[in-house]
Amino acid sequence: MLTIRGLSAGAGDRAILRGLDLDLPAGQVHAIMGPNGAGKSTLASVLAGRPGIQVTAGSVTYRDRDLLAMAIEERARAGVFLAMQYPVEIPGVSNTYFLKAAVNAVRKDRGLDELDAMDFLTQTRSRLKLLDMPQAFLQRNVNEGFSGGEKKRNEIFQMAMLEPGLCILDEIDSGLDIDALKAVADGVNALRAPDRSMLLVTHYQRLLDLIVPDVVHVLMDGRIVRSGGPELALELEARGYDWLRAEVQV
Amino acid sequence: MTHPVLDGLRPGTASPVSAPWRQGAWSRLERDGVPHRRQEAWRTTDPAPFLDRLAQGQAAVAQEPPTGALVLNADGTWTLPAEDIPGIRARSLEDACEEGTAVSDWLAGTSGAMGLADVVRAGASGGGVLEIAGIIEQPLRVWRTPAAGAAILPPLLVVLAPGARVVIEDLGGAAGTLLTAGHGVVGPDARLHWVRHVSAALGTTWWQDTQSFRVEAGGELDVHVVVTGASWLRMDLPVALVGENASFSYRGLIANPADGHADLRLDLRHRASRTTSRQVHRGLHGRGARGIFTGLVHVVEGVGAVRSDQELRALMLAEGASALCQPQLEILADDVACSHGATVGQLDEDALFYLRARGLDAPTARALLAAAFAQPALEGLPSGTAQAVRTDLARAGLAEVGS
Repeated sequence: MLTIRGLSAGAGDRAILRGLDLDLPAGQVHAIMGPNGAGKSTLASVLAGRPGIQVTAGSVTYRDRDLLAMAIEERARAGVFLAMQYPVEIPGVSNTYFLKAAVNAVRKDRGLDELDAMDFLTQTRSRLKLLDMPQAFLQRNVNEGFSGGEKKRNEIFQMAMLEPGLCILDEIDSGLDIDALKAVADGVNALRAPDRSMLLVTHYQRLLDLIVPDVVHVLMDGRIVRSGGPELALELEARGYDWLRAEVQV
Repeated sequence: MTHPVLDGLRPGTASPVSAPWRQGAWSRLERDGVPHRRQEAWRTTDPAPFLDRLAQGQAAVAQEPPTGALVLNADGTWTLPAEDIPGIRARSLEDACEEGTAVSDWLAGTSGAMGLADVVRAGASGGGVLEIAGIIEQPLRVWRTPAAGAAILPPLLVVLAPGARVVIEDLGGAAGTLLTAGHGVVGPDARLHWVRHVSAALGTTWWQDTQSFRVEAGGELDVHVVVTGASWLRMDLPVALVGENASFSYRGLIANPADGHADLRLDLRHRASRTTSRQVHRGLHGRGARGIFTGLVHVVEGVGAVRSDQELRALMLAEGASALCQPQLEILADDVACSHGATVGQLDEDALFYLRARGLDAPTARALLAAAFAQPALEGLPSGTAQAVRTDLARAGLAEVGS
């Protein structure tokens, strides 16, 4: 699904990713952990095409396509979805209008007919139910006045509507209370599928109790320094990062 | 004479009734001359190019009125969609000024003397008055027809009796070079919603417009001004809240996709206690476009419990755009609460990324954000005008129809 080779990227003069390699097969969930400043969110941003980050070396192949050569919206239409750490508030744009425009842009790219109002409503209802969200959510403006939990749930709701192939979840657990975290995790788990891969960026092992990954990677100093099973996250939770830093001499 | 524009102008003498007032306007012009850039009110717009066009004899180009419109003809007569519209009396300015102080006040220049209104008073071949005595449910669309070869459109005066309610969509009626003026009187406990849309669909326009209003005790005035295309526009809006508990709301948008100069100047006078006002302005300016909004709030000495809020924002959408949002306060009383905010910026790059990261292409995402930005200025527009505005914005790539 996703192959990253020798990826280096930075902002301005600052190098953040330094030769990162990663393979994410279809149907798997991989977690990316690491200390602050390691480059986790930068990796998520590079994959989604966020402006302001320059890729200086390496390649990213998504479903046999050169992801780095694609515009932001081309990546989204091809199935790359970034659930953002800080979803933007957009006053004046209703969730319904925005989602319908997004869903139809993606469908058009996939050679499907645009959804009419009834079909769209039917689909939104089923996805809202999946995430235990009220219908009134649709009438509100995109993220405007949403609590932290509502914003993260809205991200997962959008993900459910857009049916992406690659889901990049950038610290979706940050700022959530226990109930909201469980609701978001339930939504993510419901969306796990054989033809869908997920990259889960997180600081905390608690999220991985709820969304159990196939592989845990540790990102330090801009590259993957260790990969393992879910038990690696437990070890990091117990011991921190210093032992690993000493072992890999970063 | 102080300017060639006055050489070609003769005071209107169509009727002996209004002649003294028209002569008065003429005398003021002779005494004071026409506006110029050195005057404070004209620092943001040089009137010289417009006055030159008038002096050259450039004229308004009449257009077909929309179905159902109330048409004010150049001679002050009316062509109405129905012979009798309950609650409405449409007369010529000549007929009305004999008995109406509101009309004679306007002709005398005691209300709304800003801009080039005196040129309209002196030179218009006719004018019309709409008197509203009841609650009119449907918006009234008013169309003005210029005299052949003239730039001055007939002035329109709207007078609301106590308790009356009406929405007036003052559509203009011509392209080319236009000079217009009008006046609204909102009687006690009456409510006037006045709407002006300067549409790109009109074609190339050079337009100076002065619309003054007077709001009496308990009256409510809502003004909507939407500019979606103008080569050159200067609009003066003098508003006086003269009775206690009078209120005023302005919502306005200047959306010039490219080039063009549009300058709206609101001069609001709180002359009575317990009066309130709110101004919401938005600007969307493309390459080479210049948009200006000045909101002057003046609170006279001795009044109390006055509340006034201003929220003025503009976006520059391309290089070469320029925007100016100017809140101005002159507070001469103590018991006054005023808030004002003005920002000029660019589209939020994070929001743009967010929309594109969900599959919207860049032009669509920009248009959606621009439409959302403009939305507070468009709230409450009558549906017909709202649709026309959305169409104009979509054609200009500034909005998604249906957003």
